[in-house]
Amino acid sequence: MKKIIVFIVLVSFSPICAVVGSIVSGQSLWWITQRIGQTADIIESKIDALPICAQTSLSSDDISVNNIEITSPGIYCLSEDVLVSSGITIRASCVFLDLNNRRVDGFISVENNVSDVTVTRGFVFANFAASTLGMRVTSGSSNVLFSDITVKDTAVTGGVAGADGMLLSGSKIQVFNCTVQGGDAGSTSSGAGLAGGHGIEIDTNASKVVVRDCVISSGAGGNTSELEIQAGAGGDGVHIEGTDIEIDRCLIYGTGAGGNGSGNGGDGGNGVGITTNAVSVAVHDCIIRNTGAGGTGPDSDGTDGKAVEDLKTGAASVVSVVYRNVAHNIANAVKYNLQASGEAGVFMAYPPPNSTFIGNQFVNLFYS
Amino acid sequence: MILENMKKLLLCMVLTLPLPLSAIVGSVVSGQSLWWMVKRIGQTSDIIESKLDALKACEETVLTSADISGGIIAISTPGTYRLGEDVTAGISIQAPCVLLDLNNRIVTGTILMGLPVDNITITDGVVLGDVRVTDFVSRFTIQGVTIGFSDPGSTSPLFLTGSNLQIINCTIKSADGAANPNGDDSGHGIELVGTFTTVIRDCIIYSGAGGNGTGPTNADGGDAGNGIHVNDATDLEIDGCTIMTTGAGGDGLGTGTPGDGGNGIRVLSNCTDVAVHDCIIRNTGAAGTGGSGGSPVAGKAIFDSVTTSGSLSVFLRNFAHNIANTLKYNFQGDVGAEKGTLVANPPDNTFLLDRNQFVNAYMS
Repeated sequence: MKKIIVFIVLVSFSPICAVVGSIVSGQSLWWITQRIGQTADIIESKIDALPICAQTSLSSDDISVNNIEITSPGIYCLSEDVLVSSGITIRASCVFLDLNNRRVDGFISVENNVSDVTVTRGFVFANFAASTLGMRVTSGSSNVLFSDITVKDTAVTGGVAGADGMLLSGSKIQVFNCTVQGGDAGSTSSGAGLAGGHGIEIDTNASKVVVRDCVISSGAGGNTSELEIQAGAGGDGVHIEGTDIEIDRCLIYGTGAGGNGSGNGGDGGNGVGITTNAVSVAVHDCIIRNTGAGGTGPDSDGTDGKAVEDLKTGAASVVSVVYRNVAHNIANAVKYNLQASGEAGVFMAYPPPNSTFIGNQFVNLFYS
Repeated sequence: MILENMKKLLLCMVLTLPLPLSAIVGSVVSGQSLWWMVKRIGQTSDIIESKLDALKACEETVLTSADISGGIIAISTPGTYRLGEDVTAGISIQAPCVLLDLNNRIVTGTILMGLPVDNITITDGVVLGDVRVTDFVSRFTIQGVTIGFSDPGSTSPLFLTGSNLQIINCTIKSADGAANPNGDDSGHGIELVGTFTTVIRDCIIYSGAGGNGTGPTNADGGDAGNGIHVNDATDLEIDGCTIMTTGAGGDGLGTGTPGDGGNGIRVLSNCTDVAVHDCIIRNTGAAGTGGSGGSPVAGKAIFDSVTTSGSLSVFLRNFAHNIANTLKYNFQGDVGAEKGTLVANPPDNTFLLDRNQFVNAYMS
């Protein structure tokens, strides 16, 4: 009788409802197990086996010699923060790299003459002792898009130049909705001071580049203690030497100050610096503020940063067009030096009085 | 008494033991639930039912190379489709109500709509080839897609007919025309032929150069593509686009005619109610050189030939620079008069009659 009662109790307390287990990432979306004595009955989903999830996941496991190298076309997704002092290098065409709101401690480089590459959604912190770019497109690459990325070059120490947030070469490059910061230079005790990093540098090999809706800042120049030597210049927010460049609706939030020297102070960074190498550059609808002051030195101080320093002269087809920008808190007395001809901006009082005549909606305005 | 109790216990065991211990998994009911389980206990039942089917993601059909047949992937039923991998094939959409998510993948081939379908959306990816929206298609949207060919080629990468079309946030590049005895024309960036109610917004467009004529003696150069070529369009809105560059005309030989440079936007005379505003147009192509025949024309920012009252185009607040033709804005077929306003470069504070913020401005 007791045995029968024990048996009934055991049967009665056996679970009637299924036990739902936890989701195992990469294996199944759900599973259910029912234990019956010493056996188990399992129902397991296989939804994750569909090709829709066939993107390649990148993690620390993919690091080889401090580098993650992408050599095949495809979609890649960063599944965790990674530390890659030798960067993530993309050496294949037709690559979509989703940083998945993760952080790359290192840099990302598009190289090897590849095309059709997109990098999006994440953070790139180039915070090493060595001067390291945040993101780069090398010469010969084309059809590259960077979007929704925060790139930050942190300060370096000890005789190292500040790195650019982005260095763009190649053609048909689009940078949309990114936050980019160049790095400060370190100080030196001998030799010339080192330059701060530009926010975005567009070099002589770059063409057909669009930078739109970005927030940009640059690094400060380095000090030097050697006598009669120039200290480092602050980086430009955007430094342009390429052809057919469009800078549109960007906020250049601050540029680096020049370094201090025992001879000459370094120049402060300009909001946008356009060199004589550049061809057909357009800068419009941007806000440029807080340019860096020139560094100090017993021989001479450095030049303060301008909102736009445009040194390109020549035929109408090659000169820059700079219009409808607004600047304030610009260190230099000249705010817009366009076509190397001195102040070309229009001052507007602040608060803007209703009596101020702005006869041309294309003028470049400044408040201070 | 003991015997009576034993009978009751045995009866209880008989009633309890036949009940199934494992769950019974039922069939999937399309549109209701992905799975369900029922446990019957006496006269009651306990049901566990999934609601995954409420998620749109679970309604998608994944397309891969395995779906290629005869060189194409045919979509013949309505639904949501997502590309699971890069494919080298055409995609033929033959059913209405299709959402094709390219899933940031690359299609090497042509995406086309070959039947009178409607409610078609294509998003997020790259097409190394062209997208062709053929006649009778309506309510078509393409968004976040890069479309373009490798050189050389004469096909427009985005060819549109139909009605209620939206082209949003796309990057489009046509290839250079091939060099041939008579050089090939380049394709236009976007070509509209017979469209009704179309919006093109926030796109970046490049067009290719015409091919050179190789002769051997007299040869024509090919015409460059226009950034946007508008033919027989009604109710078209082009808003916030950047036309980065258009190609130069191909060179001719002997008595051949060199090709025309590409215009930023070309509107033919058969169009009705075209509006273009807040666009940037730059770097239009020069006319070809070399041949003595014809009068090749360099690219204008906007070349509009509509003269019919009630159908006139509207152009406002556009900005152009580095335009190869001396005539930048050519409106309403008046080839002799500049309709844009020159802005000094750098801009000063003395320009613009009556401070009209709607003028079409140019710097060079």
